Amino acid sequence: MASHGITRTSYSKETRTAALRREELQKINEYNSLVAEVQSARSQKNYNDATLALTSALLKRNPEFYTIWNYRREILLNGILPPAVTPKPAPDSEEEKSISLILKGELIHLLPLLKSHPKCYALWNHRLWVLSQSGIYLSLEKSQGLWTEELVLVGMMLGRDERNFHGWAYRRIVVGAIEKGMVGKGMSLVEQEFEYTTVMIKSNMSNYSAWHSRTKLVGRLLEERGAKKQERMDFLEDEINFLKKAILTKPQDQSLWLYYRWLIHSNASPSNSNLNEVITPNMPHWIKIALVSSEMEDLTDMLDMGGTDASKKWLLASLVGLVGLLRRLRRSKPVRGAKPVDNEDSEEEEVDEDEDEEGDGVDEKAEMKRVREWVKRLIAIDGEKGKGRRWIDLAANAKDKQKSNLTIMAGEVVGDT
Amino acid sequence: MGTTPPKELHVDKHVAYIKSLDTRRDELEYWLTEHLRINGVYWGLTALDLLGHRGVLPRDKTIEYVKSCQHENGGFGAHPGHDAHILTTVSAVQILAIEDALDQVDKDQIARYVASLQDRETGIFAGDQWGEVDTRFIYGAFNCLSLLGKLNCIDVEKAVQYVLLCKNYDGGFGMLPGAESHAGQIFTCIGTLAIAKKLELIDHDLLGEWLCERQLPNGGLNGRPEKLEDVCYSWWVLSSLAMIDRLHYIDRDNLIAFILSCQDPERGGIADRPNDMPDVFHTVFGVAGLSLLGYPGLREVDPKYCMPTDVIKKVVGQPVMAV
Ligand SMILES: [Zn+2]
Repeated sequence: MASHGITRTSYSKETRTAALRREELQKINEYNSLVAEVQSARSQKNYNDATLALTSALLKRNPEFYTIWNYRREILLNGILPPAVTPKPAPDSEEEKSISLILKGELIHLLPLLKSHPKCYALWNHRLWVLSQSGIYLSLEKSQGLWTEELVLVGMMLGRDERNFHGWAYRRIVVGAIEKGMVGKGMSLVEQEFEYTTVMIKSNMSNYSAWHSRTKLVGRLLEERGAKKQERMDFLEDEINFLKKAILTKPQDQSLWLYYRWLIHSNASPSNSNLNEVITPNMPHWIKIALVSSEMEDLTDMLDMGGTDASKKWLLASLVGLVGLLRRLRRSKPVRGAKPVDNEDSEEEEVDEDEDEEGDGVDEKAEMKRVREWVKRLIAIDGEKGKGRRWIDLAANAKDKQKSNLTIMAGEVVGDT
Repeated sequence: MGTTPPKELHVDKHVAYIKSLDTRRDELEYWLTEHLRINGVYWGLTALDLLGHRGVLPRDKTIEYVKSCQHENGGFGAHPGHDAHILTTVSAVQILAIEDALDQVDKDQIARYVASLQDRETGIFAGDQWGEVDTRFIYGAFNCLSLLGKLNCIDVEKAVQYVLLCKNYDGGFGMLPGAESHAGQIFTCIGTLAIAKKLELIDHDLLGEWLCERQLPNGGLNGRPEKLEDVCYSWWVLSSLAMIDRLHYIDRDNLIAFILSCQDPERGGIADRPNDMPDVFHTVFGVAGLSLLGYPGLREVDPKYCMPTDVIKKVVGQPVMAV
C-alpha cells in the first residue's frame, strides 16, 4: 500500500496473462488459508512449537503483519520459554543453555527476513524484544553476549545500506544496552563507536548519518578520555582538518557543511548552549574570535579558487554564518570569572572593559559589503522562488534583535547599512 | 514514458482509483496490505475529500467498519482480527472525525487506551503494549486525543520535553533522542508541538533551512540530505514548513510539476516517483501537498492533522495561527 520504487509497467494489471492471473489467485488462496489457520490457532490460545512454526511461515510471506508478531511473542512467552522466575537459572546450567538457544534461534531465524526487508519496523522491533528477554532470563554475561553479537549484525546491515535510518537508530539502542550491562566494569563503547563513524566516513564522506552520529559522540568521548584544555583544542583542530580535506574534495556536499557549522558554531558561540555536544567548553573569548577569523580567511581563500558558483553555495552560506558569529562574539563581553572546566584552566580571561562595541580595528563596513555580495550570489544560486527566499527573508528580518540564532545573526549582518 | 510533463491533476481518475481500492480482492497485494487497511481508509477518505468528493464512500458502512476494528481495551486495529495499535487508533479517530461520527464511540474509553501507552516517567508513548517507542507515537497520541478533546488525559508537558530531546543541532528531529534528523520524524515532532501550542520552543529559521534544502533540482523533496526525492515528503516537509510559516521557502511551481508527474494518467493514483506504481498513501500525500501549495480546485488541508481544514475547525476549534 505504501510502495516505493516499483515501476508501473511491471505491475500493470492489463499486461497480466490469464495464466498469471490464475497463479495469483492460487497464491491468494494459499496465503488466506494460512492466515485463517494462524488466526484460529491464536483464538484457541495454542502456544507451542507447531504454532510457532506456523507464524514463521506466515511472517516469511508478510513480515509487516504486526499482529502475527504479537502472537509469536505470546507463543514464546506462554509455550516455549519457561515462566520467568527469580532468581534466574544458574549460569551455564542446562536450563540457561536451553533458554539461550531459544532466544538465539529466534534472532537467527529473523536474519534472512531482515536482509530482504531492512526497512520493516516490525522486524527491528521484534529483535529488540527478544534481546530484552535475554536480560530477564539469562545471566548478565550470556545476555551481553547476545547484545554484542547484535552489534556485529547491525554493522553488517549498515554495510549493506550505510544510510539505513533504522540501522543507525538501532545501533544506538544496542550500544546503550551493552553499556548498561558494563556499568559495573566501568566500560564504555564510545571510543569504538567514534572510530566506527570515522571508518564509515572514510568509505563515503557524504554519509550524513555518520557525521550526525559523531556530533552525538564527541562530547562523551572527550569527557571519558579526561581530556584537558589543550587536548580538546588539538582535537578540534584535527577534526577541522579532517573535515576540510573532505570539503576540498566535494565542496557541494551539504552533509559536510552541516557538520562544519556544528563544529564551528557549537564551539565558538558566545555561550555554549548544549555542553554535551561541545568539544571545547569555555574556550576563551579571544580564542573564539581568533578561530572564527581564521576560518573566515580560510573559506575566503577557498572562494577565490576556481569553480562554478553553484558548487560554492554552501561555502558562501557558511561564510555568511561565520560573519554573523564573529559579530556576535565582538559584541558579547567575555564571561568574567567563567568557571573553568579543569584545574589547569585557572588563568582568568582578560576582560577589556573599554572594548569598542563594534570591535577594535575591524572595518565592519567593508565586511558587510562583502556579505551583501555573498548573499546576492546566494540568491542567484538558490533562485528568488523557493530556497532563495530564505536569504531574502533573513535580510528583511535583519533588525529583529529578538531572533538570536546563528542563521538570523547572519541576517542581521546582511540588513545593516 | 511521457515526454511532456502533465499540466493538470487527473481528479476524476484519482477518485475512480480510490473508489476501486476495495474491489481489488483478486490482487495478492490487497491481502498483503491488510495490516494497513484502516489507515488506507483514512488516506482514501481524506484524498477524496480534498479532491472535492466528500461523501463518495458510503458513510454508514465506513462507520460500521471502523467500529468493527475496535478492541475491548478501547484501541483500534488495522482490520478485524488485527491487534490494537496507536497508529491504527489514530486512523480510526480521524475517519470518525471526518464522518462527523465521534459521538458514536466511547471517547473516554479510547482516550484511556491511548493514555495507557504513555510512560509517565519520560513522557514518551509506546505503539502498543509490546513497548516499541518512537516520536511517531507521541504525535499519534496528540493527534487523536486532541480530536477527542481529551488531551488532559496525558502528561502533555513531559511529552513536549521528550520531543525537544529528539532535536538535533541541524534544526531537525529524529525518532529517538540522538537519532538523525528525518523529514517524517520532523513532521511528527513539529505536529506534536503545534497541537500542544509550543512551537515557540524551537528555532524556526534553522529548521526552515534544513527543510527547504530537501528540494532537489527536479522539484521533488527528499527526506534527508543526499537521498532521493519521493512524493510522500511533499507532505512531511511541506506541512512542517507550513506549521512554522515558511512554506514560501519551497519552489511551488517546480514541486507541483513533480507531484503531477508522479500521477498514473491511465489508472489514476499517485506514486512515489514518476512511472512508479501508485498507491493510496502517496496519493493522499501528493494531493495534500498540492492543497498546501494552493493548487486550484482542492479543498484546504490542515497541516497539523492532514485532514480537511473545515473538519478540524469544527472538531478542534479555530486554529491558533503560528507566530
Ligand atoms: Zn514515499
